[in-house]
Amino acid sequence: MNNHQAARKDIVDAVKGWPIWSYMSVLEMRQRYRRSTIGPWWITVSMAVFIAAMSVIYSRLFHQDMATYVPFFTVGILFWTFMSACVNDAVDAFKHSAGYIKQMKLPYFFYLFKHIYRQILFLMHNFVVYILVAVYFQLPILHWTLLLFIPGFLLFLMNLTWVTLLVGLLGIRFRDIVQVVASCVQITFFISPITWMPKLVGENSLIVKLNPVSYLLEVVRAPLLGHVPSLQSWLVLLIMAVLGSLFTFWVFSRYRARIPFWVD
Amino acid sequence: MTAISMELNKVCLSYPIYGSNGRSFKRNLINITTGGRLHRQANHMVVDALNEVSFTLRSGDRLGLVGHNGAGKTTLMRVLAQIYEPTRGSIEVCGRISSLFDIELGMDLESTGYENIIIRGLLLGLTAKKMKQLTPEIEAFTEMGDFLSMPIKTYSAGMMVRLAFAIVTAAAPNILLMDEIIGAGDNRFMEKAQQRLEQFIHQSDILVMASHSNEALKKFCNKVLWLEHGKVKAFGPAAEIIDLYEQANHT
Repeated sequence: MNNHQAARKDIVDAVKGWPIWSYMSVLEMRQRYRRSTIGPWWITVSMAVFIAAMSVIYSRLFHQDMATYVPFFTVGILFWTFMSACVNDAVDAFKHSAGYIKQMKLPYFFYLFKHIYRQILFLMHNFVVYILVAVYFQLPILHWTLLLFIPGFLLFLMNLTWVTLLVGLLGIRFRDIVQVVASCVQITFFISPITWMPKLVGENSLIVKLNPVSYLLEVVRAPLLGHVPSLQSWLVLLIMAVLGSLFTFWVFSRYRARIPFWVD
Repeated sequence: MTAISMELNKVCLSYPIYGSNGRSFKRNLINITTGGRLHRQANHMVVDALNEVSFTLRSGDRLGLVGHNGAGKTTLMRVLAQIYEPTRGSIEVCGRISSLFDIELGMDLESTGYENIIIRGLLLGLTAKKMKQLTPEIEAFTEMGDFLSMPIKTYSAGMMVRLAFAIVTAAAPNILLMDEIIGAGDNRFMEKAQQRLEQFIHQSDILVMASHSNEALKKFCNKVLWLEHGKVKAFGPAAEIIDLYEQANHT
């Protein structure tokens, strides 16, 4: 079996193991919120408070009316939180599982899927905030455009998956990558249209056009706000997903066998 | 069904050990940008952990591994478990492997005993259905009664080991890998555990066991592989090789 076949087998086996990693993700989430009555809903509450506070300040700061700004910021920050947690903790996806990696043969994608799925569970808890906002501000979402969220989110996930894996692999090989990634993620937050609307800097501004995160946010945010995302966003993300996945697959098949040594 | 077997053909394994510099992205970046290619070897050492190890095991074989600390026993175990991939050479395995290196691995403290039976079973490569079938038998063996419906964080250390042991020995795999014999709990339980362990070992088609106890090796194994500096020093019938190994150690 050559490297590519072994890497493909890893992915296929990991997909087949979904009942196990999905269950383990739920357990891990529960573990984090033990001893609190409302459990993981704490994150929903703190997210709601955060959004409420920030919305008041930023809508004043940017002179936006609440009805447009609050939904925009809510969806943006929900998906940003999901995305940044995936990437920031990518290293832990492998490192925290070092015990497993060195004791039993499980596909490496198993740990990746477990990690991303847990973040999806958090996202689903936080999603309640969006529903409240949508109802309160009567967003025009009960419309076919909402269905566009599905392909958008799939594209979003495809890109997130390869970035997470790549960061995870780099992170276990080079120990100081974690800090580099953390600073990059922090800067990205400020230069991406999350707190500010793209029209404020001009739709064609380079900071929006050259920023992959703005496309990622666009394809999930637009449908949830009742708009149609631009075709350009989908195309950019599709190309990114294909090229990124190919490159990451190449890296993974080449260095896969080193993972048990790197997690030490 | 193909026959249960395990075949190693000239397996070599070398791996890098990184110093702190080798693990620094910044350092590596500086090295590249300053053309410091010459220093790169200094960043890590390469360990040749296994060197041309070849053997074949078929159904019914019980292999013991002997050798000093650092001879490569654990590394070989991990190669057999397919955790480490050989750098050169090949390994072919037919059958479900179960590696009992750390029996408490994968137990979730927040979950109940029953939930742990399922999850641990899934990690061992069994199905949830199979684990449900095995549950009454595990219940009976652990003698823990209603405690099994409690989160396992409420268990004493002994109870935890007992449950973990009962789960991992509930269904024999085709190929069983053990690094040292596992002991579990108090004395009364030890006897019971010993019996179960022996039965479990007999049920598996192939056993590979590393141990410093020559007694245990003589008892369970029919073949022994003596490793020295990652090379096969001797391989053959258990009694013969163990005698050789003991002689070498006494002189």
